[in-house]
Amino acid sequence: MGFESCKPNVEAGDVVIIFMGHDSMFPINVKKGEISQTKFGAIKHDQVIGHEYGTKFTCSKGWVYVLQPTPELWTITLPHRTQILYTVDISMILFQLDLKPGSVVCESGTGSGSLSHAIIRTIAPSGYLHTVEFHEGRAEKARLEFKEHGLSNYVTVYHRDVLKDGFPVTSVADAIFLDIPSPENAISTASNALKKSGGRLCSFSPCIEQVQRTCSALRQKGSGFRDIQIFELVRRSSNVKRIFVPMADLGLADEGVQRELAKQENPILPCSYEAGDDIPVGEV
Amino acid sequence: GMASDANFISLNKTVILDKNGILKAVKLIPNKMIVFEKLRFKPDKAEGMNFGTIFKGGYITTDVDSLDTHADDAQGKDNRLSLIDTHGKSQSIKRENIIEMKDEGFTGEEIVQRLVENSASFADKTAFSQNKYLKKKKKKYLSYVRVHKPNARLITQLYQEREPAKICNIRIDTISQILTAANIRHGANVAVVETCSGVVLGAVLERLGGNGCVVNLHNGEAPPNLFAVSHFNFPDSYWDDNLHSVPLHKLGPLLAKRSFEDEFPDEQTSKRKTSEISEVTMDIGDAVDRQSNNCDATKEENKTHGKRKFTDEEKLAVRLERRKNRLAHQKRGWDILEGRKLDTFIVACKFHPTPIVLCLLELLQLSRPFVVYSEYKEPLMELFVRLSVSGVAINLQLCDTFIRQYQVLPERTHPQVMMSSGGGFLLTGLKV
Repeated sequence: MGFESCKPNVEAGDVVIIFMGHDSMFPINVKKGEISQTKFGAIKHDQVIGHEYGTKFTCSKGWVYVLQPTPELWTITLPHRTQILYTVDISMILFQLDLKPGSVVCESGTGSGSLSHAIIRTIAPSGYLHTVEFHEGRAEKARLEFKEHGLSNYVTVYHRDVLKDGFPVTSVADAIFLDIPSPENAISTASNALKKSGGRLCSFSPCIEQVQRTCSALRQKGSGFRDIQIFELVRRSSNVKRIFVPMADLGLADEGVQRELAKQENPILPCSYEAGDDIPVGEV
Repeated sequence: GMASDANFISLNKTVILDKNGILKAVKLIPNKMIVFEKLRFKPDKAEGMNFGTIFKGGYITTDVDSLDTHADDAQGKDNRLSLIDTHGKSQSIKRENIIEMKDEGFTGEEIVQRLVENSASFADKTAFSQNKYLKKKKKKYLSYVRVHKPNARLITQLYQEREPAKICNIRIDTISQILTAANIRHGANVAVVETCSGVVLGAVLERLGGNGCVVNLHNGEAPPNLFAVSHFNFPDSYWDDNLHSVPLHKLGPLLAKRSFEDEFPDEQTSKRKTSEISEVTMDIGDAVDRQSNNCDATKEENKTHGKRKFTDEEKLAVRLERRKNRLAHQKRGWDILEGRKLDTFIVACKFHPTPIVLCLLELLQLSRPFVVYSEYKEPLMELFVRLSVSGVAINLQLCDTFIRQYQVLPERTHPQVMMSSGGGFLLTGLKV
């Protein structure tokens, strides 16, 4: 739970994110009587249950926060079964597919479910995700995960080969997402799955040759697609450091000096600084 | 609602017109001429047609393939033998020929194709100038318009291309990041501080899907015109139930635990006084009227005076109703803030974000995300340091996205020559 609805307190059965730093967090399933190990020491689940999400807990060697999972936190903490999509691309995919509550989406493949969680969040409660996974084990694992996360009402995982068997639905989808090795061969099944009145298709490819083949297939006369756009996105993070710059003592604390300086037509210092102040400054 | 999700064009709704990628939001009013990019047409014939329908010289076609221009295919040849100076002699098709072609019913695509074929210098141009040439010619000769259903993507694109300053130069990729970073979902309570003409508000409302609340914290006393939000064609219930505007300058009093009633005094009482006064003046007017029966001029004057007073009364009633409505919205917005029920907040405005964010963090629930957009990096760096010192937020990240569009064609795949940069910066974090 936790994915499906926002609630104030941690309950047994919840998936929570243990946060130690922005590059160090992991998910746990909260169970009565269990203990999880963190790099700052052990954390007892019983200690967490009933507390508000966002609470800070002290372990033997430091402290951790217990956070409510979001699709974005899940993306950076989920167990990898495949290469996954990250939030920078996921955001653009959701936006370009015009997803909103009520949208029906077909996805292939499910992979580790990184994008699937974000799709479900965006289309719930009235939309639906049909997600197709070629690998049986991964399909089963994804199914289990969606159930654990309380999302079963919004998604069906199909174990099938989208190239051979096509999407499991016809004329119902508002949007199609492809992340498979040869998307150019899935264009006609994608077209069949889309609503008769039209819809959006997005294909994600790590290499440009794949993009070229997909574009050629989409541009074939009678493919039914148009307005093809190709994007590349990169997120650039700025490393903001907290540095403290001490102030020099200029003898300005003296009241007489201050009074005299204030008389001047153009005051030298517009505001007064206390010597010894540490002014936090951002640095990239 | 069902009506807004319909996939066909209805009159009295807003649509997005698209001519060669140039977009415009237009409300389709029956029998009212639409003027767009030198084209004039009435919308009536489009009623009931699917979105994506094409208007072309007064008639409508749904033949999509015939309109796809593959003129791009002409480019990419070896241009080492480029003729530098052709002084306008390179084009063998003359103006008269084009007029003839138009009369013979050639389509815009065919005319552009002929122009390319008959240009001696086209093949020798660089890919960049070939593109420029095609763009120019297409703009001139391709005269069809497509009708799209409005959505956040098209409306952002529209502003991004036409009036980027009105949306603080926010880009499609940036707005997409904002929506995920803020975890916008059905049922969420979202505070939004934006000076982006309503584009951010509209995008958030779209993702709430009629479920949840947006508290629009606006500068000044009266809510600004939300032009972009009106382009979305949202059902009335979105405006009534999901969008509540509260002035930003009420945040201080709210945090100081002032009551709503003190901050938003019920103007009914003061209004009752004024209406009493006007009743009194009306009585006096009547008395004067009766007294000066024999003086026609005065009578006339009083009549018109009385008439004008009556419309003023009506206006006053409308104004009172509007004020009452606004007050109800302000109350609902205030209650969400005061009850500290915010699931997230988005700041995307021209103002310095630090004080706004520090105030809103007080009202955000624990373990909830927030997003701050700024055109400039410096205020976000300052805010970053303030927040990391204060310890009220974790998982702080300051980033921007770099977006590149590609032309992908056989043997001619390359990044688009013209690229916009400066999509602004985002600071994201979680309240603890």
